[in-house]
Amino acid sequence: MIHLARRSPLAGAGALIVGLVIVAALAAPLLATTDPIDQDLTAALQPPFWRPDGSLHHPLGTDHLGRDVYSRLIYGAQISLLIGVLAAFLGALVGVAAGLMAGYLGGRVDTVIMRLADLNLAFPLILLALAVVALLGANLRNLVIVMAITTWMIYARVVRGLSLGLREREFVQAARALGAHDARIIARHVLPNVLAPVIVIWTLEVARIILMESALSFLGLGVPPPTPTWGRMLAEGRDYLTVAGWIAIFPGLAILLTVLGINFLGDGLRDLLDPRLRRQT
Amino acid sequence: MASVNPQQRMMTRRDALRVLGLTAAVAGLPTGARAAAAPTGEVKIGLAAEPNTFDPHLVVGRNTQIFIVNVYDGLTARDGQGHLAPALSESWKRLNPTTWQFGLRKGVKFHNGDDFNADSVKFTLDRAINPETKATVSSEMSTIAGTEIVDAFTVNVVTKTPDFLLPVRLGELYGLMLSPKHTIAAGKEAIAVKPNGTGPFKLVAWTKNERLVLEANETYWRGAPKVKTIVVRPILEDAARIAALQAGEVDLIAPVPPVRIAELQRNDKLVVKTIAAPRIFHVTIDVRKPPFDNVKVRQALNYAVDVNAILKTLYFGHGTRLATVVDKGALGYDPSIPPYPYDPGKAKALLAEAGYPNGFEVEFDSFTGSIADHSKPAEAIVGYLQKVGIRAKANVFEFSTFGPRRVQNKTAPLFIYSIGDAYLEPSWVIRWLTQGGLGMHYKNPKLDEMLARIEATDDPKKRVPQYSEVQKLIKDEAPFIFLYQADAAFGMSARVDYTPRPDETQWLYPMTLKG
Amino acid sequence: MRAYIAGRLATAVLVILGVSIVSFFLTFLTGDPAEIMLPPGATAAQIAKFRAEWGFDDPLVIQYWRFLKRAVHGDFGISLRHGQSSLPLIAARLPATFELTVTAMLLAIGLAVPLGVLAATHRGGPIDVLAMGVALVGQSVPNFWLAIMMILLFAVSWGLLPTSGRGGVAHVVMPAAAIAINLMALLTRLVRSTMIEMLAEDYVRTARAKGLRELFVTSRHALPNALIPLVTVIGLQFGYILGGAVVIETIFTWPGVGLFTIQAILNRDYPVVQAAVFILATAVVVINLTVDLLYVWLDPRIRVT
Repeated sequence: MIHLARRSPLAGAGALIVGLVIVAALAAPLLATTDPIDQDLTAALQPPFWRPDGSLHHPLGTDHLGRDVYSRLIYGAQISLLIGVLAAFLGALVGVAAGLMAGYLGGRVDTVIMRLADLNLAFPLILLALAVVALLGANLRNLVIVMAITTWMIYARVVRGLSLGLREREFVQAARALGAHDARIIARHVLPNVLAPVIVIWTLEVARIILMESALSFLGLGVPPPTPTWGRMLAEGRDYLTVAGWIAIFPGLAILLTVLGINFLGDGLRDLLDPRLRRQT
Repeated sequence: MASVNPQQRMMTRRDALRVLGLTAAVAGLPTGARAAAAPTGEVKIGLAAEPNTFDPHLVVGRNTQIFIVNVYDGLTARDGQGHLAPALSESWKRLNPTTWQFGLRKGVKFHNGDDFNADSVKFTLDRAINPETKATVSSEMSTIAGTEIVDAFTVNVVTKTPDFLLPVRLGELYGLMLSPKHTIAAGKEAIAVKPNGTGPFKLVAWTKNERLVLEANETYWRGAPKVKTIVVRPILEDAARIAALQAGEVDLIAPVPPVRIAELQRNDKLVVKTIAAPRIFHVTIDVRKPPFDNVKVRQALNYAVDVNAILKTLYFGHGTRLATVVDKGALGYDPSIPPYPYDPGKAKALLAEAGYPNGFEVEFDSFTGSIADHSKPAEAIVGYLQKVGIRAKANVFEFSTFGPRRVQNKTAPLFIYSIGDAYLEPSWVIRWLTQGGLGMHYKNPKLDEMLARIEATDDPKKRVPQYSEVQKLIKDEAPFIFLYQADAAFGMSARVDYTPRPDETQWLYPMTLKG
Repeated sequence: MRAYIAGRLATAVLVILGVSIVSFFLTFLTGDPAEIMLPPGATAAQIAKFRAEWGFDDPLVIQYWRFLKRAVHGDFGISLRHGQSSLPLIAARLPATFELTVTAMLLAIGLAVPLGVLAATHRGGPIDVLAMGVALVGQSVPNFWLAIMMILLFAVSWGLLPTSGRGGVAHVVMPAAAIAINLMALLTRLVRSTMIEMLAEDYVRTARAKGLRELFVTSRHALPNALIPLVTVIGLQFGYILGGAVVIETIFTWPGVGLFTIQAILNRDYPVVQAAVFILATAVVVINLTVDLLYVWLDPRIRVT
């Protein structure tokens, strides 16, 4: 990682921030000071410790049900990262597969897949996500699937571009003449080239998905309570903005910093791995 | 009359007042003398939602019902204290168990000049129950079999089964009167946006989701309203609505979320008025399935939840703890019955006695997006249940998804709900809460018998002690977790004088401007 | 060229057809509106009757065909909530959303171009670092959080701007800014990187060698070419912009299509949801088509695949 940081300070800084968030998510039970869903109505709406009626027992204050904001923030990282990483991964899986099929096989398969991608891109994604989640119900599984649906097309397009026309290349035809399967050819010749841009896209998509998930959460269609998510904390805090601003400010900052870190990382990776990509993404 | 003694004359006058249904105690309803000064001034109002339509038979949601009463009148109304008072009907009596006779007010005209009379009533009620209208209110009007015209200002409404609540039903709830001539000529789609009622205000402009303009009906039969123009803006978000009030962009807003009340009260240019809204919050328990068929478990649930803490922190004290499911303003509310105290130790003991020393698991449904916030109190309640070992898992739905689930009996064994006691009559609420279907499964023949006796009692005063017995029974049986009724808060600029109504309606007729 | 245009048009039509299928089936994923529309006391029999009267009982394919036939004539049914025809209800709100999104785009472009150019021409310097910093933060900030913070600061605390609603210039500033922030950030970086490449091109170096002034070189030679990718990106981002408008319209009660659609979704107002999703998606398709054709016209060397 230090090697990375030396070659691109941007990626290094990003990796640092992301690393912190990952640690927070993984070590949540150790880092949090209370159970994030433990309510105590007698301690509701307590300000952060630097205010006169705050205390170090609740360093960032409490929310309307007396739950500790700091602990909820730490646990909230889990959901954001989980959905972001899983959905981006699922989208990448589907998208890369689709792109490979479209680019390598060409013809009808290409047309169908690209039309599906166009169709998908035509919908204002948040509206689609809203409608689907509102109708099917908001839970982790549905959210990951819906978010994945908003991301696969991006991989598909790029991967398709990189694997177009490969089938007609001489060395591929030679390999096929020798008996190699399409799958093997793809694995040996296409995938390595595709890996770098996919990683960059994946990183940036994680950031975008975290933002979109927090928007859905904010509108009330995210992972249901009592699981703490940053978007939901923001929505809850909004009702108390004028009397307890800390409830909304901190989760918003958390989202901002996490997404910023991931974007740093993604940009740094892009600069490092493939300057060509700057145009495509 | 030449030599009538003063005593007699006074009695005659008092009789006359009684016929009009008014006593000196009733405030807010002048006897029909024209108001002295012409209406002046403009008031801008910010509401959480605007009506979906001005057609009284196609209303969806309480938000619409409570607003369109500004443009229409029903046969009856509520006064400032919540008592039933005459409106378009001056008197009513029950001829036999299934027939109510209404004596109608003379000299009332619709905004377009049409006369109000028995034809209007028959037309309106026939339209409500006519399947072609596809009225959304058809279920509440389904007790009506038909309307007979006795003479130009008297109608008999015949019901299929005895309906002791018909006068209330035909008030602001479902009895808003239409003009036959105009309605037929204008057509259904027109009535939705260009209503023609007898009410204190006329709708003069409506840009959906933007603004709605009401203008005073200067020939209103109660006397012209004091305010000439009312501009209504729907402002969905609480924060935006309150900011609009603080910035002076609007003069009155409703509702004000409890968390902002103190802040508005500190502002000496603003006034906040609250009233106990007749909306009864409760948690329905499915008594059919164990462990909830055991009354000890149900009582344990009640001891487990600190309702007063919820009122204090989530509602900032703006609410009333209810011992049962009868609201404070309803007829027969018995304040002497104490609510279940908060006693988690007792809750655990009761659970152990019932055979659940280690608690149990259960699902708990709540929802967002309805007229009031249910998800926050639900969260708090679930937290309390967990503290006594009941591992409740919360499911949150959007209200439009939850509705069908409840109706199809697919809810969790516990779910939070609230019912607006628009009738201000416990029998209606309790019947609804114990209907044995649509999610409400508690049925008790003894209770039904007590309610039937109450419904056959015409004199309201005689119903009161019977209701006390009903409340005692319900409390002991604990088929619900009893919660509270929340206050409705209106925020207004100091120059507006408006007192919220006890029946939840946003009836703006009594509003005046100071200075 | 002609073949390409024909191809793109055919694609667009196919996509719109797909849009119609999705928007139709979207609203049949679960439940039905009868129960929510009737007052709480409705019995199961009354609900069933209601359903039959409104035609919810017919097989799905028949309902889709009915939907498509009517859609072609602009009839998306009567809104369950408002009792009026859906399409005019949505059309009435398009100008408001249009005003918001166009203002947001102008704001984004208006800030991104100068910032990007400055960053490119002072590459590596403090201005560049600052501009890139702003851009990165702008891409990462949750725009609904920014909107709330702006309301808190400019409307509640300082009373400079109105809190909500549509009106004059003062009303559109905050919502447009909230939507613009993500796009502006993206465009700044794009302008910067494209300008950098342009500035390194042969013909620019030639112009410099000829002794032409830096500013002249920049604005007459490098800039116009740098703006071409901008067009494509804006087109691609239009879907995201509309999505941003949806959330921001809710926060500011901006009377546009986004707010209306969210309300319809939450109210299960099927006809309106169908109409809105259909129209919005079609708008995105049309804009993308326009952008693609525009791109080809601007730079005939390129065929967008």
